[in-house]
Amino acid sequence: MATISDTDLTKKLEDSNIQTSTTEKDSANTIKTQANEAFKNCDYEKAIELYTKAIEIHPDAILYSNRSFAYLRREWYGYALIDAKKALEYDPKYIKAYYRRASAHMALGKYPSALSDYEYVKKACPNDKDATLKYEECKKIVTRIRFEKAIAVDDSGKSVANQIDLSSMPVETEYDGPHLEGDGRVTKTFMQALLPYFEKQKTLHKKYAYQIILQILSIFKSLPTLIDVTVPPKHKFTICGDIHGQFYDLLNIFKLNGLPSDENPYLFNGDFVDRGSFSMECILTLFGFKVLYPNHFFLARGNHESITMNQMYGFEGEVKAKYTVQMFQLFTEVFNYLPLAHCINNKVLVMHGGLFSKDDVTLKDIRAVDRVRQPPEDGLMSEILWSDPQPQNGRSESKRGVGLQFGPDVTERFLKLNNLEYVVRSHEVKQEGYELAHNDKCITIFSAPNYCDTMGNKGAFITITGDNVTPKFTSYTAVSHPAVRPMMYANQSSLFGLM
Amino acid sequence: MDKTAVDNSNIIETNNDACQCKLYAIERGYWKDPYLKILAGSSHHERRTPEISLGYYVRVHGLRYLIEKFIKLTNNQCQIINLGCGFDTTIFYLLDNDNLQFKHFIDMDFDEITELKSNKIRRLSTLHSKLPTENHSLKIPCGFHSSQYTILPVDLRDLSQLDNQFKFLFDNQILDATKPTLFLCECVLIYMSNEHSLNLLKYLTKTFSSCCLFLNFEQINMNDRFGEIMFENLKHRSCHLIGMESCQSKESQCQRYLNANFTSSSCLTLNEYYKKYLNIDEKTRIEKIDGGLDEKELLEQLFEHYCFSWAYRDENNIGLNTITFK
Repeated sequence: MATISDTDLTKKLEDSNIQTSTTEKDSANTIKTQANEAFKNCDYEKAIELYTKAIEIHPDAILYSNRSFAYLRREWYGYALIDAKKALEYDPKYIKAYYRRASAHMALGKYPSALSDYEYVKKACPNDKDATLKYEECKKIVTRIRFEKAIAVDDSGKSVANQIDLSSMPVETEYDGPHLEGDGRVTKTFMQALLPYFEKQKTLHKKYAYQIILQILSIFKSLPTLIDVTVPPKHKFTICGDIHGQFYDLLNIFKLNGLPSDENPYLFNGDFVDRGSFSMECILTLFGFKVLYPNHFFLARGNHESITMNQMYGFEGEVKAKYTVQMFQLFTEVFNYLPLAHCINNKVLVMHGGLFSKDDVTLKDIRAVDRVRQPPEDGLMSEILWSDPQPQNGRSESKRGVGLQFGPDVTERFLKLNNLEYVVRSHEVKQEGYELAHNDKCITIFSAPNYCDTMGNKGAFITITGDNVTPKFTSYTAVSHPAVRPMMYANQSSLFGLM
Repeated sequence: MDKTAVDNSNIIETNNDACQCKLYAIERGYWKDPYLKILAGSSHHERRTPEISLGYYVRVHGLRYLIEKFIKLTNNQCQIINLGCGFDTTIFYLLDNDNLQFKHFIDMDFDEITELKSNKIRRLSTLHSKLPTENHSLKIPCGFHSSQYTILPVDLRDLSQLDNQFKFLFDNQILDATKPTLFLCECVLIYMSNEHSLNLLKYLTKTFSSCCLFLNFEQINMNDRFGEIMFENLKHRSCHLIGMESCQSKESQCQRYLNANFTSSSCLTLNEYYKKYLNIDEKTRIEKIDGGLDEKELLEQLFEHYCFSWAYRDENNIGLNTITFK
């Protein structure tokens, strides 16, 4: 959509190109002046447009810094940061660019980064009152955050786990569900009784639920981020993908493939909860089996084992509805300790999302990830939980906005570097419940059929044996479930749509 | 006009839903709108899934694009009537933009809504300072009137009521039936029967027969499992999608306008809009806001079930056929 001033500008540009003495820099300067005008008039869109034009002709620190400023005004902090960084690449001494970068960091909540930039500005301009003021303000925030972190760590009573008083939860005689042993031990009998109890939509007693979750917390705390699993020759091993609160389909997996046991080990690859409205039953079942068979039942973290997702997609609501807020806080703690990946017989690596933005990642690097936290926006942990394979070589920005998309060449190099045969991941719904990509080296396994009651897909699981890791796939359709709609406990279901 | 005796609270509730979803999206930075919070805000907005925020973003911006095109085509000499407006803030959006002028803007909805909206505007200077001064000589119960903006209560299913309101507007030279008129209608027709909506559309084409454009945002492709589930879910909240029949397909959307004597009609799903017409930089920006799209398929599924549909009569050939997405 050409505006009147655009046409003038184009003409000016054309004119200036005809004059042989005009340099590219002059053209860019002309446009920059226009952009500065637009900026003064608070027309930041126009200013950005014009700075961009100028940058295309003759980029420099000032243009990037100015555009960064315009982005800040539009509150596009991600772009503002990129431009400020770019400006500093052109001129590492450009004070204004430090200012811009600091502002962007502040807006993004990255206070320590902002502080170091303000510090630089303050040192370079010791008489600038504004610079000093901003530095002091930022310092206060950073100090406050450090203090809060310090007292949180010191006071281990802050952990919800320590605040749970099991003695205040006596089991009433009317309770007709399964009981744990006196010491909270999970037995095979208990699990055998639990599944049909859940199937009838009954609620496990709060005390037993807490006991299971607390035991899981101890177990997870003792585990490394990457778990090495050994499957003996001729022994079976089953890998499942996303379950998403679809308890009745989980029961069906056990029906098709047998209940978990020492002889029938399972690995569930994340996204156990959210969307489906039987997340509570799923997670307690999976945790129960983990406590019962700690060395033959494995759980990996998915991107849905996080606060943000649980708040949006129903798990938090479900825990609050069926139990308590405190229990949800406990789940948050527990999810933070979930391992991120499993390596089976040194041949098959299994994680929820996918591979990495850099080529030199080793299993050692994965083991070294500090996982006990909410998933970050970037870095190895974020990529493990969020990445997706793509058909073409190379890497691309993720359509999801987090993580990345990686091609067959990335998979090939990763497997070679780490001496592996293939990678199994989940995270994406597939019509048949599974998909082989990257010359069968990157396999997606998704175990929630008819996802959200609407997608019509099949679910699937993989079985391998210790001496033959060639995957076998079993696909299955959804089974019926009680009339509780998906996202029943979420604040606003997308199945209500737009009103 | 007597205050309504019928209980329309479940339809009115949809305004609250839409506002809360929009406010959350605005809070998250999908777009800017300082007015909605004043009209409809509460202190804490519950989290919505990214699909919902993106859906409202697309709704707001897709419609604005077409509105702006219409205004430019008619050289600012147009009338805009927002049917079932709720707490929509399009009037403020237009007034804030010097390039988008119009002769008159009418907001219409149930009296419960218009009373609330009018009172809020009267009370709060942050709102009425944007508007031309209220004209107290023309008193509208449960409404508001000024030189460029009027709020009128009406039940769109009651054509005699609607006719009275339009007579009032014509008699007082607030509206001119021969001038280019844009009708906005967001998630309104589906809450009334097909008979009611057809009659409403026919009334509009009869009254504004020379030059009018009807812009609709609504459900589509509803005869599948997703549609079933939405229908059931909303039923549980006493919200009945009784006008579903016209929302079966593009054909049904387009045909209903032709049945109502519009001469041309078009329809575009949100998916098509999102894939073809949304600026790529904007798309990248908005998809990043809520920490990543968990499941692209679910976004596509939602977007497959909503559409922009529009229809016009253009007897003076001013070029209403050019009002489309590019």
